[in-house]
Amino acid sequence: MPRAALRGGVKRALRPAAASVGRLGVSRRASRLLPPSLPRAPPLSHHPPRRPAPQVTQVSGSGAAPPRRAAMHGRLKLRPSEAQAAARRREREEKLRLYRTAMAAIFEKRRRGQLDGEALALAAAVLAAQPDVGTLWNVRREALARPPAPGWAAAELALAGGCLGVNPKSYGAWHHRAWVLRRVTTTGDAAGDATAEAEGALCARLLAADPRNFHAWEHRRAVAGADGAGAELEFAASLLARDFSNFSAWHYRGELLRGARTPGPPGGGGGPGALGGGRLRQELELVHNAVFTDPNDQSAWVYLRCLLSRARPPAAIICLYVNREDATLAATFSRPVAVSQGSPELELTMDEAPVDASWRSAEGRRRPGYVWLCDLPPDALDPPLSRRRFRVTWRPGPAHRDVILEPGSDESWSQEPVTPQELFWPEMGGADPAVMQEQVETCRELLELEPRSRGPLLTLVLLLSCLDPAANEAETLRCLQTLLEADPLRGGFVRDLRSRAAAAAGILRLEGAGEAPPPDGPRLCLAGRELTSLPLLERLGLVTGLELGGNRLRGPPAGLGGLRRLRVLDLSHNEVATLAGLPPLPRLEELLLDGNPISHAPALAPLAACPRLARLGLAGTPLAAAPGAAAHLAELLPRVEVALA
Amino acid sequence: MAGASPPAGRRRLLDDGVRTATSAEQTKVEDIVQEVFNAYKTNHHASQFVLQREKHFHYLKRGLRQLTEAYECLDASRPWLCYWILHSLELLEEPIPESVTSDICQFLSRCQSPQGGFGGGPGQHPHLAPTYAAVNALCIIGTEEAFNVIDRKKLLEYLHSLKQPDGSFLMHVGGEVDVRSAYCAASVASLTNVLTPTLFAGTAEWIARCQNWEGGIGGVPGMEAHGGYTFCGVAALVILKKEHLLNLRSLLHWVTSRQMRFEGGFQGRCNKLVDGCYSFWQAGLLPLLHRALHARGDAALSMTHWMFDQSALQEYILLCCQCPAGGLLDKPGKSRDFYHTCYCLSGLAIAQHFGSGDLHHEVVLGIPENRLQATHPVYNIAPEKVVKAVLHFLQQPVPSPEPEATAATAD
Repeated sequence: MPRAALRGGVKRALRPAAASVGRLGVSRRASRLLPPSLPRAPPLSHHPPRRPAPQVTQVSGSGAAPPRRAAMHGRLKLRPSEAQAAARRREREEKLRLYRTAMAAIFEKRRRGQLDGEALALAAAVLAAQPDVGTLWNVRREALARPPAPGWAAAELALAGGCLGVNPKSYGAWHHRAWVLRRVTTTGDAAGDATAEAEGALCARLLAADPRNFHAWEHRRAVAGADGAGAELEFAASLLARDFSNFSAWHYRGELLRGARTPGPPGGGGGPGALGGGRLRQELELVHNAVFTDPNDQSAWVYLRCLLSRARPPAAIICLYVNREDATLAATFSRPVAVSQGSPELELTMDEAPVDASWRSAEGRRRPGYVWLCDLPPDALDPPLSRRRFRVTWRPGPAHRDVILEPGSDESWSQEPVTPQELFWPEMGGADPAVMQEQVETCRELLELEPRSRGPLLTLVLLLSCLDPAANEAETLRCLQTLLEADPLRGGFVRDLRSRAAAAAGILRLEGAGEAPPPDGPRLCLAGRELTSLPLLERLGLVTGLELGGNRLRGPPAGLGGLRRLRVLDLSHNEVATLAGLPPLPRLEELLLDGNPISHAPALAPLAACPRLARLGLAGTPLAAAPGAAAHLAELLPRVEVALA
Repeated sequence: MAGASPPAGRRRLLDDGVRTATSAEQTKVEDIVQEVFNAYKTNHHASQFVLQREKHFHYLKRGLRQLTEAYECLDASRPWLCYWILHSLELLEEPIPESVTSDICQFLSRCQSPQGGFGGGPGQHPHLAPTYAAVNALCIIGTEEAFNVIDRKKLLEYLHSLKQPDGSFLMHVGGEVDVRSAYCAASVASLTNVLTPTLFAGTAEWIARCQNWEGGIGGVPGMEAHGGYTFCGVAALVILKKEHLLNLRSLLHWVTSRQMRFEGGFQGRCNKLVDGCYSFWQAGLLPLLHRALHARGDAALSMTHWMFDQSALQEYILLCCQCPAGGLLDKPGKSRDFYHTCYCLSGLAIAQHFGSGDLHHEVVLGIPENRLQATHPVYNIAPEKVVKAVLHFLQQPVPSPEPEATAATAD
């Protein structure tokens, strides 16, 4: 029964009513009556400070019964007495008068260019009560731009420090502190209190009150600089010793160690490279202490994944495919890229001579995409006996890729081999395999104790996928199934992970069979895998057949347009209601849509742009049962043999 | 822990008897939420979740009245109060009397600085946050008078004066840099048709640097990921059409992990407590992500639901965030305020409305009258108000900034 609301309410009610904090003689409470200025909590938001509770007169509950929580909101209804209300009103009016007088005086002095000691004192007085008036911090900085009085730095720091006592998340006060410190460094003025120790102590005080105050963490990081990283690691550890759920402290460690990690590739974004062995051991020990104490605490798991993560590799060309008949070249990237009008980013040469190429997305839209196509000049592939070497260079990255079309062949490609460990979750894998394997054991051990714990389940899935995804497929799917049951709120995310795992495993099977692909080209079968999506298509650019029957796909997979060789697509018994958005598939001959909820012919309209489509399966669809369907389809797709039953 | 079971699939925190300051706080919140859920179950067998529209309306109306009285009170967040109240009222589909909107226009024009942009009150230095709030408020009003308040040429000059060589923006001249400023600048520039490629050169790349290994976005590069900053960063990238610079997969993982599995609301950061305002900052990210992934042609996307539990969020807002006297709040036991009223209602609108135009699907928990007006997930004003403003300002040419308007330095 003792509820936070009740405890907080009573505690606040007992607080002395008017502890004077401002030089205007304004009570802390009165200062709260002015709405704070700038949004405090990011971004635009502010969490208005807790209003002090008025003296309690309890209106709910009856007689001597313990205070009942009002209605269903658990909030005590508190009403100030008339006299108290009047006192508050007077206090507020007085506060307002002082505030307005001071602001008017400051603006007047500024207008006259009298930014003197008096202006500074007035600004300080208002800021002490209301630290969020950015204008006044600016006035102070303007005034201090003239040669300031000796000891100015200490005075400014004291003021900003006091303001942080009033509002520990005041953007203005934190910024002013940083400004003073920078100025002291550049002007060589007497530093006064402006030492790294003093700043550290202030931040430590504020973090003791609110260990998640990111302003204080950020200020510490800026002040400590690269040299102070050792001491800062200890500081973060001391806060973690007090509360290992404090994610800000974990994050801080991660940032401090960024310098100790090997740099990630340029333009990778999102994470650094590997952490050196000894240091990594220490961190892992810290994590293990936390996760064995409470496997359900998310902070340490997120940190563990950070330790084992690496920067995402920059976009690179992973496949080039050229087809003589289409006179088209397709460039596939490792992640979506944007190519603008005129294509300055992508350069094509043929036999070392630049080709004036115009690139278009394989999805038919000028949006970031994996696959970009360009038409080759009509004479480029003529006569058919010529040997042609094409080179595509991606300007934002240094990489290029070549493809050679031999005389007499219709098509040619050059594809980067798949690195199995980087397929499923490329950001995972910033440590050597032995360390990763140890973490796998840790997760398994914890799951024996707590089989439905989210942290170890998800971490295990990611670890297994970057060790040996093919061998670990069964365990991965088992973990994902448990995760689905344990965390239904994020079911969609887990189902997508499962689809991704299935796709990755399928791609690796294809790669394994790469020695002797079937004569009609590689075909991938992922039937009956509960797929909700089919990611990683960028790694399947050369398949000729996709068997996706009996899944839960709501539409043709994104990125099909990049599959320039696809002849057979089996989407039967999925949840496809329309093919809207399907890009033209130049070689598609057979499409199976049996058993999908397709109910009207226009849903199939994009097929008219597939020039070789010869067979279409629609058995068991509502459309097949509709009267006149056959005639309608014959009109829409005259050259296609449609099977309605 | 009280006896009745939590809603299906909801999980309480298991702290294994090991208490940390964080787990103790979390357990406390879950206890309160559990009690609210239980009380609801015992008292409301037959009835349904109800949004107390009338009470919220009166609370907001009173705020508007005070606003008109308090014009002379100088402080630094008046345009925000205008925006929070006006937006809450438009979500509740409550009309605002013309006399009031006209007063607001006049007041906001007094907040506008001769340098361009808006200050927190008359006479104050301009600042991007109140500039964003003022422009949004004026677009909600959406009258000729409101549009005419904005000095677009000066606004563009002001935005240029804040631009940093690395692509970021200062929040105000002499002020700090963080990702809020990029969003505020992109939002007002795109609404008022002063968005130029030069103004935002390098901005998208700078924002992408703020995405960290968690997947979310921090205030500056290297800072812990945070719901508010993440919203600002992603919304700005949507405006600049550069969402692909982010790692969308890790971002999606991060934001979906922020919905609390017991309370149903969102937390702002890893291992923090639920807070009603993140119903917008976090849940509002999912329409933006949906759009970004859809643009990529992702057919796996649902065409009826966002990628979070919309019902669980509505349940949290309706049961735990309504003040019985009107207004909405952070969590049970906290005080109401206009900020939380605005963002709880905005989050409720996001959770009720999927998609827009032809592709629109509603999930309204409780009685049908709980249905709110939809909100635009980028600007957080009604979608038709966005259209109206954009069409209005499109008729006016993009002003060309004075050549001497060059970047101010951070100090």
